[in-house]
Amino acid sequence: MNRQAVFNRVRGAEDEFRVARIAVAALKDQLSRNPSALRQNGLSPASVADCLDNLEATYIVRLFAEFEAALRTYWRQVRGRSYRPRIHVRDLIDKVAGRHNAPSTWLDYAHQVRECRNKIVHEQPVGPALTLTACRSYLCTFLSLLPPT
Amino acid sequence: MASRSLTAEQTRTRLDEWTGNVTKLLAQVRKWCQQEDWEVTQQEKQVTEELLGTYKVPVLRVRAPGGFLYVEPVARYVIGAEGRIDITSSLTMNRMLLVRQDGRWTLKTDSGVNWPEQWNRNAFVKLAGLLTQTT
Repeated sequence: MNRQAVFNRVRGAEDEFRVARIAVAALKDQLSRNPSALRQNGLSPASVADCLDNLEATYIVRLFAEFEAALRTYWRQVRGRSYRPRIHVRDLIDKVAGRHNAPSTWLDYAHQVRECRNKIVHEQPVGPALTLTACRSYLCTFLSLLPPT
Repeated sequence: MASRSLTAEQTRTRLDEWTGNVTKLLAQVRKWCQQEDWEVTQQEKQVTEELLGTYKVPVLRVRAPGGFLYVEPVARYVIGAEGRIDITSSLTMNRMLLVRQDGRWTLKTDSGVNWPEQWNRNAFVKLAGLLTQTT
């Protein structure tokens, strides 16, 4: 596992979000002038508004998935044959933090993002508790615990 | 793990203790560098910890024969120890951890494995060579 590649994937997800937000906002603007533009696709302007409203939350879930995949890959390398694939991500975060003497603040931040992701997935809040930029920053800080290769 | 909140006095005491330990360790590293005739410059960084707030600590930049090394305090409140300082090669990004346990500094590899040698001048000089080594 290459730490820089993991950073790039996480940052790439944030960049994709920014592109998507610009694109959907442009589409929304276009629909305000031509509300029937998406009719042939079976979509309404309301679908586009919903997409824009939920975009950040969607990408937070994606960002966390990249983070979790990186931690699982790393932990599999560390544990070898004793790796349990079904280890809960909360415990995985704690184990990586313990192995690398993570600052408590970094661990708290990673769990804040995990809880934010859980709320999005399970509770469907109106908006995420953290911004995508904050999530990216917290997760990359935690990932800096991992060795470079 | 410490209690999730400290009184103002406890915070000041812990912070003074931590920055004192950091200052002593960096002074020791600086002395060893002088003995090796390695140039050292001191910078400053800001650290934010939930229990201590935001404070400044010194960071050393060492010109070792193989390349620059940074000796950089990370945090007082870390999991499983009472403070962590990283020694990182800016060339290779290889890193060793100095963690404070039971009132003394011990070395760990970046993979979390305890280093068999004690923290002393010989270990530091040896690590400076290993960390800056490109394979």
